[in-house]
Amino acid sequence: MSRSTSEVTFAVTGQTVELRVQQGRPTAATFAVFNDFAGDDDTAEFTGTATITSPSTTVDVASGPAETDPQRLSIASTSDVVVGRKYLVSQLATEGSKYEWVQPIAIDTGDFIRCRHPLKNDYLSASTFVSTTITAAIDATWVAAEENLSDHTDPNPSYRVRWSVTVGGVVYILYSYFDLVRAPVSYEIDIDDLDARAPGLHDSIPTQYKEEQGRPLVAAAFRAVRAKLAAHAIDVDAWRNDEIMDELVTLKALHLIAGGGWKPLAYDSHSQYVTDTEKNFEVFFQQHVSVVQRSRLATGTSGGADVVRAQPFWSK
Amino acid sequence: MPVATLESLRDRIIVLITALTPTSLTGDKFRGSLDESEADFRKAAEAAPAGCLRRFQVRNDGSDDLPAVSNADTAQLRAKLRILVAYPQTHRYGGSAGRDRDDVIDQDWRKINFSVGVYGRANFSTTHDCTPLGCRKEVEIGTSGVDYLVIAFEANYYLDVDA
Repeated sequence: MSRSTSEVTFAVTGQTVELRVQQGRPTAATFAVFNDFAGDDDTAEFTGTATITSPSTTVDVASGPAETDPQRLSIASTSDVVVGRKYLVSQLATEGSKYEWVQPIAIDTGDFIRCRHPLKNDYLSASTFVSTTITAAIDATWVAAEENLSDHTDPNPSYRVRWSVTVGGVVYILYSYFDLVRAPVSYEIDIDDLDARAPGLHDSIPTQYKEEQGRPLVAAAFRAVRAKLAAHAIDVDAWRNDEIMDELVTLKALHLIAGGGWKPLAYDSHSQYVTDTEKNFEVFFQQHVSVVQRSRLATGTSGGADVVRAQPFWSK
Repeated sequence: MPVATLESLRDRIIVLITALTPTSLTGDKFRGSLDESEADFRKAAEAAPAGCLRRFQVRNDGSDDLPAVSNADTAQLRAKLRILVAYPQTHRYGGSAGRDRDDVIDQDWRKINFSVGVYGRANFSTTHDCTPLGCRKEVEIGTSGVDYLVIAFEANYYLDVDA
């Protein structure tokens, strides 16, 4: 899935931020957290050794499109495999060393996982299945210091994690970003809510998302809404109106699903439904954000809202 | 003598097909159509092609005929049901794309035919007792993103003429 700015919650200990290393499974990794205005040579907020997450296991029964269930990937141990996280499965050198990212949608404990999409390559026994995700523990003192809270008036992330990662003997320097917030803003939409707007959707949800009742589609819609708000210089964590946020996510989810080829039976044309759902989202966004900002935003670091007067576009 | 109806035969076929474990893509089981709205299976499948894999419909084709034999209590009739199974034109069937989709359709046909066709006599008894005469297969290559396996089912059954 695409990256979003991580949100670390103020004064809650035991949190981590993570990075999926594209180059492969690291053998070693360290991190340093900087205020994003600070340089890499400045003093870090805190540093540490990153945790390389499990699993690192092998395929134990031949899996892939040549098998009866091409979504099934048999692995020696399913311990620490997490539904929804992405893993790297790689062929043996004798098979051609092809590799692909897979995302489990179901786990049969101790036996196999089912991947969202059918495997594209065949994997013989002893092929590798690994996590490449590394995590950085947030410092317990730092996370509880109010002066570290992110500035809501800036939609850009406040902190940069500089990762130093060793993969295959090569050192890579990678960045990721996060904010420290009082509470992360989220959504509370599921497939039932979408079905109430588009009856029949629940029953005809795309095959690859049906086990999860379409949750990844809603999550994708939320990421799209975040990006849209960022385009208007609004930090999503400053948002202080659940109702409007959920409506934005609902309208965006319907638009994304329409783009994937779904339409209500009342529509004769897929393209018309795509156009209409896009228009519905854009009009609502204009009504509440881009023409006038009706919802309250938090501009300080206290967590409290600040009244944002509805103002005409030219005075914003 | 056990008697059946078109309704009980249709519902039995839906149960039998739903219970099948496909030969390939085993995680994607057959699912009966809800037949809502106009019960237009093709329209529903093509409105949501990504969600219609192995969705199927069983319907009476609407025809009826003179009884082959009757004693005024029961009549031997010919049931003609049409089974439609949807296959979206997606990547999910294998590396050979359309050819793999053809293979999956053919595998599914053999499974369904074995269960409800001429070899399926043992699967019909009591309220759905019948003698399956066999199934005929056709494949429709769709132009709106969905292919269809079309199966014509025929069976002889006894109907209680006064029920």
